[in-house]
Order: sequence, then C-alpha cells, then structure tokens
Amino acid sequence: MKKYENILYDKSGNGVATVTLNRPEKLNTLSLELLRELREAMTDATSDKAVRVVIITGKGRAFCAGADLKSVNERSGPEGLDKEAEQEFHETANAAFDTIENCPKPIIAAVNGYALAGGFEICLWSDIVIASEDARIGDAHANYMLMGPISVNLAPRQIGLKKSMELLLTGDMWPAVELEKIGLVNKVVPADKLMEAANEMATKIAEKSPLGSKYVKSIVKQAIDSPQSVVHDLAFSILDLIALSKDRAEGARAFAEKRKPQYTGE
Amino acid sequence: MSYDTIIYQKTDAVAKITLNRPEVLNSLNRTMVQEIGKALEDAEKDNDIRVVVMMGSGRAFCTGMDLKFAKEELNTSQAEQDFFRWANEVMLRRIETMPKPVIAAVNGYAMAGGIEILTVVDLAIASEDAVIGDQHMKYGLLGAGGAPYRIPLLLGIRKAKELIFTGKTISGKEAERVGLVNQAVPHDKLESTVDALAAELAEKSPVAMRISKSLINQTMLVDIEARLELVLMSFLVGANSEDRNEGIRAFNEKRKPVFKGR
Repeated sequence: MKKYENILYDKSGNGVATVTLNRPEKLNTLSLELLRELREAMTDATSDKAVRVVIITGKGRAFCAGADLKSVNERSGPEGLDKEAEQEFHETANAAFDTIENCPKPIIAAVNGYALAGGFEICLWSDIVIASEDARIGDAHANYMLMGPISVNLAPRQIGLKKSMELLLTGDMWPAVELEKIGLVNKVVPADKLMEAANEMATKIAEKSPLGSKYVKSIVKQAIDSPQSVVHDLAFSILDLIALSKDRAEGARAFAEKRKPQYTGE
Repeated sequence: MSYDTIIYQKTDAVAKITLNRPEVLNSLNRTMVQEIGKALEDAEKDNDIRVVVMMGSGRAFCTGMDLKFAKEELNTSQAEQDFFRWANEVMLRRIETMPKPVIAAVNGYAMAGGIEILTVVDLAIASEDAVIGDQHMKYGLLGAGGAPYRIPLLLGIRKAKELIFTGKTISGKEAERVGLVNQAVPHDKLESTVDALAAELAEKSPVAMRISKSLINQTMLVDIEARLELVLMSFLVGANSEDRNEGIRAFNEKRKPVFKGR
C-alpha cells in the first residue's frame, strides 16, 4: 500500500475506511501534497469493493483550516496573485474535492476541531457530519479569500438563505452546536466520544446494502437540485433495477427467515 | 502517450482525433473510449490547441458499441452501468463541456454511440453519402449515452421520435436538412471543408469562444446530470428485458427479431 505523509489512511474497519488529515502543526491546512494524497486515498476507497463507508477526520486541534496558501502567497508580489500558482492550487484542490463529491459511497465527516473555508467545504460535500463539542465551524473565506466557490453554492441549499448570508458574509466561526441547530451537523458529541460516534454510524450504514446506499445517495443528491418529476422517474427506474439485484432478494429472504441480511452489493 | 485505436495529431491550433479501427467500423471498446478521453484531455489542457476535430478512418465515423466487446466484458448489469457512466464522463460529457469547440467530420456510418458523439460535438460537417441513425430500437435498446435526451434538443421532438422509434438511417444530406449537421459536402471535400472551418474558429478569441459555448450549454442542457442519469437507468431497465436478448440474438442469427414486450 502507498505510503502517505500528509494523511493517514486506514482500512482496518469493517467496511469502513478512515482518512485522517495529518498535518496537525499546520491545522491540517490543504497543501498541494495533502490534496494529492487525499485524492489518492478517496480514489482507492471508491474503487475498493471492501470499503462501504468513508470517514474523513483530522488530527490535532483542527479538522481542516482550509487552504495552505503558502504556495500561492509566496509567489505573489505587490501587483497581485501569481496566476499560475493560483491556478495550480485550484486545479489540485478541485481534483481532490471531485473525488469527495463524486464518491458513490456514504461519507461521514468527523469534525474534531476547526473546520474553516476548505474544511467547511468538506463538511458541505460530506453526507453526514458528526462534530465534537469543541469543534468550531465556519466558512471564513470572507476574512482573506473573499469568497469560497463551493460554500456560496452549497451552503444555501443546506442551511438556508439567512444563515448562509450570516456565516459567509461575517466569516465567523460558530460552535458545532449552533450548526447542529440549523442542520449542517447531524450530531454533536463530547470530544472523546467523536470517533466512537462516527464509527457507530459508519458501521450501521456499512451493514446495509452497498447497492442501496449508492442509489439512495445518488437520488437524494439529484433531488436537491433537479425537478421533482425527473427525479420521480429516475427513482422508479432505479427501483426496477434494484428489483433485479441479488441484494434485494437477500433482503427479502432475510426478512422471511427473521435474520440479519448479508449484503454483497450485487 | 501512444495510441492504438485512434490517431491523434496536432497541426497548428487544431487537434484531430481520428477513430482508427476501420476493420470494425470504428466501434467503441474500452481502450478506444479511454484513448479518446486521453486525447480530449490533452487537447483541452494544451494551451496551443484551440479547436478539436473528430473523425473516423475508413467507411465509418463511429458505429457505437463494439458488440463483441460488450458480450465479453459487459456481461452484468453492474458492468454495463459502470462502463456507460464512465464512457459518458470521459468522452461524451468531456466533449460537451470542454472549453474549446469540437467539430465532427462525419465521413461515413454514424450509428448508435456514433450518433451520440454527433449530439455532443459543437459543429458537424458530413459527407453527403454518410449514413446516420440512432439504431438502438432495432435491438430492443435505447441510447445509454443520452440519445433520447439530446436528439430531441437538436432535431425537435417530431423528427427525433421518427429517428429513434424507427431506428432508420438518413443520409448526410438529409441530416443537413433536418439540422443534425451544419453542412453536407461531397465526400472528397469533407476534410478540406472541416479544416477550413477549424482554421476559422481557431482565429477567434478562445476566451469568448469558451464563454459562449458554456452559455449556450447552460441554456439548452437544463438539469442534464439528472436527465442523463435517468436515461442510463432507463437503459439498464430495458437492457434487462427479454426483448433485448431477443434483439441481440436476432442480430447474431441475421433474422428479424420477434419482440414480446417483456
């Protein structure tokens, strides 16, 4: 297996892969190297059939404090940003974020501390967010970066207009419990119970049919921004497909035999 | 990178991708889709390239899926789903969304997946005697690459239904008349006409070109991700029908299929 230097990648869980951002001294900011490793790990988790759920978390005080702007800022002069450096960063970040956005498996963000800017965006891409009581979460792009392209698009779909405006215009970070109230965080737990809670949720999902999870995730995401009638037809087409699957037959058998189903994803 | 199934050439600001499996009428297998995708990616990233041209060698532009490959490798519903989703992403959507104009030079047969390439390119010039059709209906299928969605956008509903329901083919000249291609020219004028068009577009501002293409796509391709997903899932439902097996059997046995509606 590949050796990672900026993340930890652990597949020892039962159907659960955990990606831990591991630059604690830099608050797990997204450097080019970290982004490339994140992309590689997510690509592996997506293709490895044994992986059914992915947890993303961070080591130390931060979940992820956003972009490591050193590579861009160091090459910028008084006239402004170095365009090439800026472009390289965006391309690398987009490639990494694409692997999160397009991963067909459920992703749980276990937010252990600061989740700012790019870290906030990882929360927006994740399917489920579980946060530590001490976590502080915010868009924060307004402070230095002016605007986060993912935040402005996804935040209003997830937490509504007014709260998005407040969070994105002030650049403030809020305690996790505030974000739980408005629906960005599923659950807030004591810091020492965070990974336990994330793993419990992940395991519960991993026991369900990977085929079912994949389709639920895909349709639910489509339902957020596509017309109800198109998604209606899509959902019923997929139901026809599901009816042909081994997992659906196993579900029916297990129900009849009053036992736990053993799903394979086929 | 070297290519086995396509020829990829760059001349001045124009990149040309020639599908090059003439012995199987440029039908698509995994390698070919992958190589087309690689070439598109290269053309997109190369700052010296401003226009992409796609054409086929021999008698065909592209005749869709290589059925031998499909039989051997796409033998489960999941394998089919994975392949089509991937092919849609690396080839069809890439052509549609890439920031540079893509021109198809339709030199001959353009069927099934071949007409789907035709629906995602920006401009198309056809040889007058090119043979173009959707064809899927003949085998109890529909276009998993989005034909039932994109053909009506190009042709209007009436003509689209005619082409899709009958599975018939039309000539390059007829394709020009109904608006499926921009222009049909005598076969020996095809390459020079396409080259001239490509050279003309290459002189335009790449910035204005990129933005214009994106804006036109935004106008026409509303909710495209969900609709393409719906097309693919509907294809897979149809693909699991008895009728589809009968369609393939009849094709292999060179007889007329008998469809039962199951």
